[in-house]
Amino acid sequence: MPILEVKNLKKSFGASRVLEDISLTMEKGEVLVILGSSGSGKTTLLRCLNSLETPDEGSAAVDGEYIFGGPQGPDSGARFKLGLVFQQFNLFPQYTALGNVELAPNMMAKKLPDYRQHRRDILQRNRAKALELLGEVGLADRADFYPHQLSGGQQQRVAIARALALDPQILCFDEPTSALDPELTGEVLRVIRELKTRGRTMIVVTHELEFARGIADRVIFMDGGVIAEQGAPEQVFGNPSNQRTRAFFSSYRR
Amino acid sequence: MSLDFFLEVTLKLLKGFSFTAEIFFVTLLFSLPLGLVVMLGSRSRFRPVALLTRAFVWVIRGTPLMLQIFIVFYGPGLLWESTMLPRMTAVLVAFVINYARYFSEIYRGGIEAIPRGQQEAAQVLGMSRAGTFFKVTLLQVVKRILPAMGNEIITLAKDTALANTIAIKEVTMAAKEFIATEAVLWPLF
Repeated sequence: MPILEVKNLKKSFGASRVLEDISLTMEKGEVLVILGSSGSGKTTLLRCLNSLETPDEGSAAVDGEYIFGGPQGPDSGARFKLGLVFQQFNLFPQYTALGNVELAPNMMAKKLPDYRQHRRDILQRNRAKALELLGEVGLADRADFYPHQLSGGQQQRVAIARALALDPQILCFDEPTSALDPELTGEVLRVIRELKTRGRTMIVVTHELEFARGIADRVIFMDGGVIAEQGAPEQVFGNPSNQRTRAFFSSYRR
Repeated sequence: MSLDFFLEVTLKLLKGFSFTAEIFFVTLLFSLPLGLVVMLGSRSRFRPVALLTRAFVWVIRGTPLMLQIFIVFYGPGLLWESTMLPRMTAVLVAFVINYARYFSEIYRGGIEAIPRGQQEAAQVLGMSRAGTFFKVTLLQVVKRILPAMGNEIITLAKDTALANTIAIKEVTMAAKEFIATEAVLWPLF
């Protein structure tokens, strides 16, 4: 069974149709890279999947559970199976790196039936896990730093650790390096590559073509709200069949 | 000048100051929470409530406080020939309404200045609306509005002098009275 199944997703803002009939599936462990010029609907697609926008039509299901468009209406539980890393990091400025990572798990824990009895254990476990995640993104020694004390690259790595804290089945990246100085993109891309080696299922929207080619199991090229082309990276990068895809790549190689 | 005279002046001024202080603290006490209510109204998703509140804020904002004091004090008597409010009550009502709307706009500005991304990040992390407000937004709002609140509270302290326009003997009025009767200015310094 595919881990993600999107069917006939449509979304317009007023008169402009941003997504026209998007359908796609993903397998567990797959890394899907979405390319396309700005305004092609990449970000809107990610935002729909993460319930930040309400789609007009269509359905999406993670691991067989509907995020939207299901027969019983929206299931609020399933959307937490996706995580999202933002272009602008969106860290919470009043918390340390560690605080940012453990905040959501700690708030989730309050809903547990045995929270009151095992409060201390649960919080300790969350903290240990948050520290482990910060270690994974190479920031164990920055756990007590506030976002404004960290570089952009470090902030984005904290944001990745924060997104991982809820164990999402699919992790989405919305242009994770677009807000960074060129010399800081490397450390973020390295972390994403490491996540791939650990078998993470990921959807990455990016403009870093070299990186995309290296990390993608499959590439989708979007244009004007539709999937213009998709396939293995060698095929899409090496020998694009679509006119728009060719134009897109040649504008990058100039 | 005798010591007695000095004492008399000081006492008069202190008496005036007690009114000033009363206006100041009562206004703060009521307008801070009322501002919150007005802010929630102007941000309401139910359009009529939002429009009505904004119109109210617009009117109060566009008219001077002195005029508002006059309207609250003289208005009921002139319009319906009902009994007038006591002077102090009228002043307090006018001040509370006026400052509530100032504070509501400061609150609103503080909340709207928070980048949308903060809320979206919290939403993607599965936080409830209330949880997001208390754990993410509130502290950032407080940080943003604190300087503006400080300014407004200082302005309020100075605005209390307007109460003398309907003959409340607050500190400036007490001083004026004294100047008129004794025909000297200097003991006031």
